[in-house]
Amino acid sequence: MLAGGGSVCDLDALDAPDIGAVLDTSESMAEVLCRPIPRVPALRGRTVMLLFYEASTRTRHSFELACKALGADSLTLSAATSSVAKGESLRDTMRTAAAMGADLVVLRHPASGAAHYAAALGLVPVLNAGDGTHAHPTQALLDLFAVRRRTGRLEGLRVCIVGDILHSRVARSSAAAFVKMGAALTLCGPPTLLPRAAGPALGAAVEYDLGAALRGADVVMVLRLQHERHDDGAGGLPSLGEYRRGWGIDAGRLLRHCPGALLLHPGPVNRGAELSDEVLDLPGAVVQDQVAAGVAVRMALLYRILEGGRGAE
Amino acid sequence: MAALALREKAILLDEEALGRALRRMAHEIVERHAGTRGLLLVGIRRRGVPLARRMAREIEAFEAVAPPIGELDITLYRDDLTTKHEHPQVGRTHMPENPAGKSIVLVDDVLYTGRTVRAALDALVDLGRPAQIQLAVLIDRGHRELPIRADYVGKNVPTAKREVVEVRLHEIDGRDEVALLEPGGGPGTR
Amino acid sequence: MIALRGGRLCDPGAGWDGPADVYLAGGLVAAVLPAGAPAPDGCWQAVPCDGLLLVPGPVDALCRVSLQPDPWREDVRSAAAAAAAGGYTAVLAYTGSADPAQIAALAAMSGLPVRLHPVAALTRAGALADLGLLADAGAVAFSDWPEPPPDAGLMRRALEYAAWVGRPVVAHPEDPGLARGGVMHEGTVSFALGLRGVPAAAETVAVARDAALQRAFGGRLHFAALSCGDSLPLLSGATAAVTAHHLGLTEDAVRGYDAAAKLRPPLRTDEDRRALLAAALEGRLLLASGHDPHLPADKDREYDYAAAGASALETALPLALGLLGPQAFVHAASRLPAAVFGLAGGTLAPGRPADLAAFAPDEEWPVDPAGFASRGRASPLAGRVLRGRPAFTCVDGRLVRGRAAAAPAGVADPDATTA
Repeated sequence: MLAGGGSVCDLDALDAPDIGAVLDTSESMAEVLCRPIPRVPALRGRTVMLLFYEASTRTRHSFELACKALGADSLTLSAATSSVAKGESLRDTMRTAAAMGADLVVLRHPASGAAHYAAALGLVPVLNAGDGTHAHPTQALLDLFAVRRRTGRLEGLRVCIVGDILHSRVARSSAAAFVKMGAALTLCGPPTLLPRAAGPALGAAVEYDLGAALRGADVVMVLRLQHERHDDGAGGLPSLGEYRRGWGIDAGRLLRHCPGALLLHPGPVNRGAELSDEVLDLPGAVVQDQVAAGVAVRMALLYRILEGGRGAE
Repeated sequence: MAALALREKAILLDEEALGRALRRMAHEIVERHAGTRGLLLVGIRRRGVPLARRMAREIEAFEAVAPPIGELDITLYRDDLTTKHEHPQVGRTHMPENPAGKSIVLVDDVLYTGRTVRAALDALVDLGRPAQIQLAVLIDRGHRELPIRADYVGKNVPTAKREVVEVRLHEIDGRDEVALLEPGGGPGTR
Repeated sequence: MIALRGGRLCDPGAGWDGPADVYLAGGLVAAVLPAGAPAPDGCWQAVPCDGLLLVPGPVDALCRVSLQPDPWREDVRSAAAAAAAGGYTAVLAYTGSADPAQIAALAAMSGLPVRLHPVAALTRAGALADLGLLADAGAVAFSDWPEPPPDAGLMRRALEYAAWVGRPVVAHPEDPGLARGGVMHEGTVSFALGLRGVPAAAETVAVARDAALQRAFGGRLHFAALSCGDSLPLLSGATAAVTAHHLGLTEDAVRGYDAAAKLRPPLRTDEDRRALLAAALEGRLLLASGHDPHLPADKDREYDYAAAGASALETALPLALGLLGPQAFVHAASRLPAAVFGLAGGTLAPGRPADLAAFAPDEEWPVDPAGFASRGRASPLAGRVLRGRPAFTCVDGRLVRGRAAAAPAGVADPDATTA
């Protein structure tokens, strides 16, 4: 899906070598970010429209920094402040983006599949910055990047993703990415938030007992509890206390079952909710690495999408 | 471009001549800088890097001090990327020390349009403000499109635009030589 | 006085399956004779039907019709035109209306290329609708489809009362609690796509409940459309339909987030599809289109936000004919609907209404919603090639050329319907 300046809606079209190449490019981008002037002119004259139908400071700022570092112009359209709030359809907003000369639309949207829909219009390539509960490919790639930097490898790693799998686009994308790179994946969470179908859908083992899931893990990814997505009234999560009893991550559990494991969290962290206060200070916590990795990985994807599509000049 | 069969027309430098050229250039660099103090050799990826390394070894042989080597990837500064690389590989830039205030000798294999050097200059300046930047190339084949000239040249070779100069180095290609290729004829040599 | 000559007639109700000449007079079937036999006395307008398949008039058992005239939305006339183009001679028009005057007006509408049999609302504001008055006005059945059925207490009353009125109750088998928020079948595909699922149990629970109510309290119960194989053993004394989409497609049609494949009930697994197809082949299910068209602006958008339902009248019969073969097709599309809803068609025996459809069984054609007579342009079959195409229909003994461009040579006058 990267070829020909195409859209990136999820990781389905990327195989392990593709992902490896993106991570390698991300290394180069990380070096650029360490320079006294962290900026290169690679995408000078390109316009990237950040179209955010869902509040997100972290991802938006990360993309904005990535655009700046590559010399691209970025333009942010947030649902709250634009014609989008006036009821303009996604289709028409994409047309507007094309008419404004955007070379790429970075789309964050609350509906699963919105990125596919926008990309299929064929107007402007789309880079998915999170769609509903479906996919968040840049987050998955930055997780891989942060882990690979710490461990030097991805193949053969035992990765455990804990939390509300059902409502997490991060879980879906990161799980797919880790599996593609040869990691052994275990999913863990309350039965109401971790359907059996998740196992076959993602090529992962499903384990409802946290201790069993954590045992021997090299990487533990803790998902954010998405209170805002528990609106189905089906009682998927009785209370925070009930959740913590079974699946809360604290230093004791981590040290007992998988000492030395890396701890990932897509952020923003609800300190004291899904994670106990002290675990973020454990040496294995790489949450800040993830944030830094985010800019480099997004630079790599922006560069590959926009540069790959450039004709002879 | 890939579809075009290229045929070898001449060997411009063999292993021995290539070594001699590098040795001479190393001497010239030391002579003009009156030593190695403040000197930083920066190879342009890919083949400029091993060339810079070899010149540093030559310099070490007669000065007893090897100048530091930097590696510069200029992919993100290019203005001449074409569809021939669907996804240009971005290599890493590595500087052993801050280039600010240094006397830098940029090293590349072939000087042609000058666009690569232009990109390298932009990249270097972004990394810090060097005291001076000079340019050393193994082959100068002419056809400049920018006002750029080399300070040290291994060999000047008049070429036609349709021809290709191919520098082969042990470190990358398994042997040392410089060949002149031209399109047409039998099976390509690439 | 029309003579349809040389076609293959498939009419299991009359024991016919072979070349026949069909004679229509006075809105009724006058005679069905072996092909080439001498014509009965009279002045017959001959319609050559060589290579065509003739079947008793198909009746659509599930079609949503809005009584509100609207130049953009599907209304009665555009739905009727789409039905005729799709090879139907009659449509059960689910109006959702509890107003006897509206039902009477619909029943009395003239100049339509198909017969419209109104289906009136079952409930109104949480209480029974005026079922007797609605039946008097012409309602052939009662249903709140596509809304879920009422609570068990009201459903019981509805079955009891409708039985006294002599009409079936059509239930949409969907448990609201289980289906809440769902936009496709719940399973590995919904998980991978990040779409909220409707579990199969949302249907089976509702089927089991209503079937139990029917056993306990009587009445005639029909399920609007089944999507799950597991619903079949639960039917008990109830009848049920399946849509052509559910016989031909699975949840895989949703991959890529094609909102045209967002249906209610949702497309389910291939196992479900096969079970339903097997039941239809055994003659246990009615065929329906499930036609539920929407404005393009409501369909061509993010899958999550798109309306559920598709335009189906012009594709359902060709798709089902290919899947079922002529015998089972006629049984499911014509005989069973006529029997369940007490209509006069279902077979072409002499003296029966002269309602029939002719199909070019081998013609392959690409589905292009832009060419639909329906105003709904969303079809999960768009771009597919279907085999078997409606050629024309006869309604009340009059020729209806639903699809003007591709009518076979010799078929007369497209305006014949109004003659």
